[in-house]
Parts: sequence; C-alpha cells; structure tokens
Amino acid sequence: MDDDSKFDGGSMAADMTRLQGEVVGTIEQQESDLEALLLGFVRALLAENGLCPDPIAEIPPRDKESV
Amino acid sequence: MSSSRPVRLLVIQLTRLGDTLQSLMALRAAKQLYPRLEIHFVARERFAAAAKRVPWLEGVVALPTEKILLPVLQSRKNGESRTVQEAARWLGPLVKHPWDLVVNWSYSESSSFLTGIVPGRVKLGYSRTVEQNRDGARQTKLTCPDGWSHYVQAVVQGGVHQNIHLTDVLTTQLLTALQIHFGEPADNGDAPVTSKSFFSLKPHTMADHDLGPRWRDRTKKWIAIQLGAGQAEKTWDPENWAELAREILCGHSEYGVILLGGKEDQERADAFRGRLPGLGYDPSAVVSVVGQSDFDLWASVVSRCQWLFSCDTAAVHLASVLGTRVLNVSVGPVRWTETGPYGNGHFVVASNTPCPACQDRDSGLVHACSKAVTPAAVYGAWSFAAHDAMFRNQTTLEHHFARLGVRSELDRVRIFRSRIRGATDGGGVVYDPLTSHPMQLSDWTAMVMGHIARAWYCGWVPPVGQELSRPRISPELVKKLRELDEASQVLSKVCEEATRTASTLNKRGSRLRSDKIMKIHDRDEIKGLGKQLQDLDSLIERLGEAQAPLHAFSQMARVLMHNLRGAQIAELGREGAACYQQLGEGVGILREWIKFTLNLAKPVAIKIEPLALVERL
Repeated sequence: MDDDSKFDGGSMAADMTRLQGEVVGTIEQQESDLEALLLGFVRALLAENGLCPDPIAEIPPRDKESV
Repeated sequence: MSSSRPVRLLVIQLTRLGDTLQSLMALRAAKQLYPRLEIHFVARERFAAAAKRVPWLEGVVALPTEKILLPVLQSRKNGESRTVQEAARWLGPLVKHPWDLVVNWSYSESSSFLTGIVPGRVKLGYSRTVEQNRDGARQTKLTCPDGWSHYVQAVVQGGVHQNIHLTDVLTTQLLTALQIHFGEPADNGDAPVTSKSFFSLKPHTMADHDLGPRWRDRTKKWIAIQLGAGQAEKTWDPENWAELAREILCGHSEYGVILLGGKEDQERADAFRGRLPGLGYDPSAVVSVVGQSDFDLWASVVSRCQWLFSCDTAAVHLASVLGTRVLNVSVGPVRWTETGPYGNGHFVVASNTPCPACQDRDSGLVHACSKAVTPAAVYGAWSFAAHDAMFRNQTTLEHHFARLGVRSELDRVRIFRSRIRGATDGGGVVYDPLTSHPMQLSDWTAMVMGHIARAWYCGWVPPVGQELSRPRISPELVKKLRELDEASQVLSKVCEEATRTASTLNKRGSRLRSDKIMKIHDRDEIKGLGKQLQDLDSLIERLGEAQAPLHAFSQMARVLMHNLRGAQIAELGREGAACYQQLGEGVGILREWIKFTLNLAKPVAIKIEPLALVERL
C-alpha cells in the first residue's frame, strides 16, 4: 500500500490555486511534478477519447489498458 | 472501527456504466460494514446519473471531459495550457484536503494520473509517481501499489482466464484495505447488498413517460430485453430476440415484453418489430422505451420487471443491483465469469463451439458463437429457469430440453446458473454448469487462478478441487494437464532458484557501504547475480509463452518487478525474493490442482457383489 502520499493537501491546494490562476506559463516552463501529472492526465484523456493519434509514448505497452 | 471519526474515501471510476454499477455494489457492501465511511465518487459525466441516485454517497463529482478538452480541440497550438488550467480548476475541490483512502477502480491511463494527483493516505489501484530516469529527467511512472491491482493488471487485463467476478475483486480489495488500515467492520456483513430500492429514483418517473395501457396492467409479469451492447460483436441479432419473445408471449400469456435500448438501438428495435408479423405476432403488443436514455426511467423499468434478457451490457449489472433476475445471452469476446450477472439464480447461455472470430478479433470473420446460440436454446434455458424452484431436484435441464424437443441444442450451448457461495466455500459469485460438457483447459485454468488469488490476497482458501467433478474431466484435459505438469515443475524450480538468488543479492547488498562505490569483486558478484535473475526471468517468460495456464505467472512476474519500490540493491533483493516466493507459492497451488485433477480422472475399480446364485451354491 502507498502509505504516504507524495503530496500533502495544503501544498497541493496552493499549487492548484496557482495553476487555476490566469498567469500560467507554457507547458515547457512548468517543471513541477504536479504539472507533469496534470499534463499526463489531459493527454491520456485525449488518447482515450480517440483525439490523440499517438497515445502517451513513454508508457511501456504492458501498462496500457487492455479492457 | 476503532475511531468514531468518519473515514473519507474517494472512489475514481472513469470507465463505463457497467463498471460504475459494479463499483456501487462493492461500495454498498463496504458502507454496510463500515457505516462511518464518507464516500465520494468520481465518474464520467455521461455515467454519473447512476451514482447521483445513490442516497448513501456523500458526494458525486462528474468529470466534464468535453469541457476540459475543448480548448485543446479548438487550438492545438495554445490550447494545451488552457486545457491544463481547466483540468486544474476542476480538480481544485478534490485536492483541498487529503483523503483517508483513494481507490481507483478505472484501471485506465487517465485515472492513474488523477490518482497520482489527488492526495491520499492510502491509495489502491493504478496511480502515478514522478521519478527521475537514468538520464536525470523527471518522468511519470505507472504504479500499482496493492496486491489486487497487481492481479487485475497481470491476470484480468493480461487476458488470463480467471473466475473471480470483478465485483468480488473490487469488494475484497476495498474491505481488505479497510480492515488493515481502519480496523474491524461493525458487523458480520450478512445484510443483502442488492435491493429494489438501491437507487432513490425521481418520483413519478413512470407517470412522466406514459408507456401505454399494457404496461399499466399490474397482472402481467414483465421481461425487459436490452437490444444492443457496447460493441456490435457482443450483440445477438434482433430477429433472434424477436423469435424468443414470440415464443414466450404465445406460450406464457401471463408475461409481457418491454424493449430497452439507447438511441443507437433504434434500428435494432425496428428489426425486432419487423420480424414479429412474419412470426404471426402483432408488434404493437410489445412495449418499447428504446431511444429514451433517462437513467431513472431505465432503472424503474428494470426494477419492475421479473426478468432482464441481455447480452454483455450495463443492464446486466443494473438488474443485478436491483435484484431482477437476468438471462444473459453471452456472445462475442465476453468473459462472463468476470462480468456476468451478480447474485443468486441468474442464468448465462453461452456457445459451446470454438469461435475463431473471438480468438482473432481483427479477422473480420462471422462470430460462430453468436450463431450457435439459437432462440430455441435460450427459450429452453429461460423456461427451465422460470420454473427453477418447481423443477429443482425433480428434473434436469437435459430432460427439460428433451421434453421441448430441442435436446440437440444442448450440444451447441453451455448453460450456467449463478450462486453466491458461502464464506466458508470461498465466497463470491460462482456459475454452476447445468450442461454436461467436458471442462476445457481455459475453464480449469480459471478455477485454479481464482484459487491462487484467494491464497495470495485473502490468506485462506477452500480445499483444492472443491468444484471439480469427475464427469467433466475429459481425456483431452488429462493429456493437456500432463504436459502442464512437466512445465509447471520446471517453473517451480525456477521460482525457487530466483528466490534464492534474490535473497543472496539482498545479503550481498546489505554488506555494502555504498551502492555506487564498491570493491571490484563485489561489483562482479552483484552483476553476476543480476544477470542470473535476468536469465531466470526470461525462462519464466518462455514458460508462460509455451503453456497458457503459466502465462499468468510470467505476466505477474513483470508486474511485480515493475512495482519494486526499493532504492538500494539490498532492498531490491529483499523485495524481489518476496515476489519470486509469491510466484512459487502460486505455482505450488497450480501443481496441487494438477495432481488432484489427474487423480480424480483415474479409473476407479468397481466392487461387484457376488451373484445370489453363487451364494446359494
């Protein structure tokens, strides 16, 4: 079991508030883990809805959903 | 539970409606056992309606996929950052406070990222972490922290035959975590999970949709037929449904038929109605709500019906939740032992003939399995099931089919009745075969895998071979098991060797002051052990490719190794040894099953009493 999440609620909420703000840099400039996960989430959503021709290339084939 | 504080649980279910309904059933069981659970449920917007009608859920959060993706669809160039903003805005309330438990039951890519983002003390299911790769770059890594998730990834999603229903997998996974982290349940869990009042539906739903005078006839018993399925290859021809309906309506005047389906099923409904006049039946006698996708109406209709007839659709799970009996016509590439109707007394009718189209889904071949299941066979199964209580212990399915004059249909189909097993027999739903076809290797493997999973994750198992019977063991199966016996013996030895090697790696690693600076002798020895483990891994892989029942172990080895969490050589050695030991224990159980089955198949000497005539002499 994952006993301790990588993120605690407080700092996560602060990061999220910042991301929700109007001033958000380009994806290339965003380096935090949270941003990487958010971007991954969006790209996975695109792929799962057939809107992204090349579903997330960095994931090994065995990790892909097969059902 | 030890504390009176509520346990905040977030469940992420981003797959289809059928999975949502199965999740709700598992959650109902958990809520009954742990009343202090405060359950919040994330679902796709399209499928959130069912969860929103569950009164004991604290909150339902719908994922607005279209809204989130709209910016990127409007502008590929600048849209991605605005889409990320949109996603962050939606996620805001979910990350405000850490959850006690986050459960991802979607087993999909997007859900793994979502689970990685949401803060939680304990997480189950696919998640994501961000780690540094060998080149120093940060990248996300799929993680699968708990045993049942390993099983889903390696076995269920790995295409290995297994017979534990997904509802049971979800329930057991959650209850085990609750017990470990939050204490013993409030009671013994005998309360039923399914009920007609599972959902709090909008009042007057039926009145809002006038379905005509026939539907208002309270003396009728109703059969709902769900016409379509998620995939065309899993559907049964509407003409078949029409023939079945005519047979029932003509022979059993106490029954009425109502058609169910979405807008996409309108053509099927037309084909159904178009077939009835040719069969000498008036189509207007059949009620239809095809094209009306309102969840409340759908659930109200299914709840009122005595039976639901359906292929592999969400309706099967809806009827299960509501306690409506199901006749599941299982055609196409469906694993009904995992996703079939849940509860007592449901029936499954499936083909008994091998279907090349199911084995190679890209072949474009016609599904022989769909053709093998005829309206006569399904009618035979239903008419037996509808009088099940009366027939029980008095007649067999074969006699019933013979009486109907369709005995030969049983050569082409297999028919099963569902039953909830007692806890002492292993628990969960099981499908008892009512037809006497010999067991196939895939059926045997499914039983064994179910047994191994219980041993791995529940710590207790019923006796080996409990549900095996001698007549079902064919000479063909015996031949295959003898071949498997040899291969499994090799696999058993490989697992033992790998456990020893990984333990040695752990010991050598423990003696090192640093994993990076070490004596040349130590480095060579560690390299050698690593190479040895690699060779053993590839041997496990090859054995899995050679023997289908061993495929589960090679898949599981990959998943377990992918999820090792140690950062030091010593830790990796220790964790690796535990993984190989787990595999070895599983192989041991498989070998016990082989031995038991081969013994059961041995000819038995029959003791013949001396003739009375001889006695007289």
